[in-house]
Amino acid sequence: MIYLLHQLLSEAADRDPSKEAVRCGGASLSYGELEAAANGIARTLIEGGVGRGDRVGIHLPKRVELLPAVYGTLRAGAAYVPLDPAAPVHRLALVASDCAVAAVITTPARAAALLGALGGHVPRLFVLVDDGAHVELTAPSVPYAVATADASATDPMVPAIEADLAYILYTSGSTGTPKGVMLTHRNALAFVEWSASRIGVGSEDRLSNHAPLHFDLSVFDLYLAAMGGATLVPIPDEDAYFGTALARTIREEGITVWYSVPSALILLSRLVRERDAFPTLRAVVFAGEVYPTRHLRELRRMVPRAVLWNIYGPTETNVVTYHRVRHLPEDDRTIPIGRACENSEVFALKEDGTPAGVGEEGELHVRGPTVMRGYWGRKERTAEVLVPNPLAPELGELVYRTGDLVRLREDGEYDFLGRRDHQIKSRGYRIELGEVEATMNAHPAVDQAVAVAVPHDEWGRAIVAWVQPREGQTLSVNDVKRHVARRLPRYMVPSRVHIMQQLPRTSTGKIDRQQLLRESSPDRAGVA
Amino acid sequence: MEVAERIRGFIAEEIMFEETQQSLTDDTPLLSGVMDSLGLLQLVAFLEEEFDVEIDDADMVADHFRTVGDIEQLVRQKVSKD
Repeated sequence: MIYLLHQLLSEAADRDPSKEAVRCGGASLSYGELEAAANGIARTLIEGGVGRGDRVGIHLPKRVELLPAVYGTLRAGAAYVPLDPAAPVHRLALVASDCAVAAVITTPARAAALLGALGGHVPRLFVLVDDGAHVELTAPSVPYAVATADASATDPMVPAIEADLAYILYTSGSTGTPKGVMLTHRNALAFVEWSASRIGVGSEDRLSNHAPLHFDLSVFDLYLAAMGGATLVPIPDEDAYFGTALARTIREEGITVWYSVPSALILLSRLVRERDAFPTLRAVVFAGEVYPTRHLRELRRMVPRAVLWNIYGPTETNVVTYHRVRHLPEDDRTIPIGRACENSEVFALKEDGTPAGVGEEGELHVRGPTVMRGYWGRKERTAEVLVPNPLAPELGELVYRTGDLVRLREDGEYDFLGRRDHQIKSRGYRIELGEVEATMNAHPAVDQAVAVAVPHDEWGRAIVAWVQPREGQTLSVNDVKRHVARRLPRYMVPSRVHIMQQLPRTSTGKIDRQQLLRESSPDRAGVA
Repeated sequence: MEVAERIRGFIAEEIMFEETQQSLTDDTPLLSGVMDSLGLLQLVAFLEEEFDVEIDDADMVADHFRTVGDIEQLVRQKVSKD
């Protein structure tokens, strides 16, 4: 029985060690090579003082070494914490010290930058993947090539159970600091097993990996591929922005299963006009944001033979509902997020706490094996979202309150309506407007700042900000943007900033967000 | 102002939100951290207007956008065609 994510790798390596496991940017590893490299990384981490339950930061761009880093961390009994290669180092240092990473697997230049930004907490070990740059490091380090030199390295067999943490994914936090979603081996495996039973996977499959490691879509790519003994094809970061590069990858690599946010597929279908352009694709899976129906029509034309799956779930629960796209609405109504995955239960509760019936709006709650352990180091925040099951309090069991508003349809599927709070989705990324506001408010010349979301045709939502400077202080639009860009990922930087000497207020003295929204018609929120 | 300088100025100010161009050279890698897909769209809109060229889908490949030098080459090639 499989109860740990890294068992997926050992089983695939046992079945066929010569089978190609991963291929990226011209480099590749077989399952046998991946197994040995992961064991080498695990042994290096353990020798460097990493123990069961520790956290290991993985701060790498897309390349084959990502996989040994992930599996090596798990084999050492530790949980991996992806550190976004594109995020400002200030934010990465916040994350790395929040969960006190014991080690970091990265490149030399990134290690030096991170060390410079870390205050009190210094990791015990860096494992350095050579990228040609030579940098002197003031902390203990082992080159990746040395750690993985022994092609017969065996599994250190660190004891572990399925309830152990496998990884922590940091997401935007409403109070101004990111929060770490803790997920166990079982949480991930339950989702991967469901994916294998519904979408299917076999050793002949070639799965793309478009999402970065810090985005939970990567869980499907990595572990479903390993479960099937299939080949994983991570898409290098620089190719992810270009439709032509995506199209070339699908064709040249013969991708059979694609999973990404809709915006990546939209980029592709706007460029590729021919019908049946990618005959190798048998399944196209998307999640993370609403797929506009008119773009879905283009997708259908581009891949008429592929089965299309819309899957849904916050990072806190992996994936909990699915909708197999058969018929598209005639008009521009959006497709549903679907019904519960077979090993999950979902239900919507109205504001009065009673279950929402057909046609009624309610907040979606989730019960099942994919629901997270909690937020790292945040008991109170965890208790706000992991609550006793209101439908069966006598069981003493916890369910996850998603904060997502849904409506139950007659066919038993759910429509997604929006959020209960100030969280938004932009290009698939989850953003707490409170975190953007808190960051702007931390600027010494800012008296008060507000961030609102306006609809945007391609990315779902765009962020617009209004800033009131402190009396006697001058502040430029770029001062604000630069301040945010140095602290938050790029997708959280407002696309427009307005400096206002006096923000509009309601009669109760609160900032009048409605008034500000009225002033920002969608065309004024554009990129230029 | 020469082409590369105008491109550098735009990227430094509108994409990196910097006050000066000091941190950006003609060889700074742009596609690993500096620019994301949104920045790329902004840049293309700027190039089309600033240099009166048309950048079509076929031009949208990483080779044309890795560095300021690459972008300058793309612009020069487009200008000479028109």
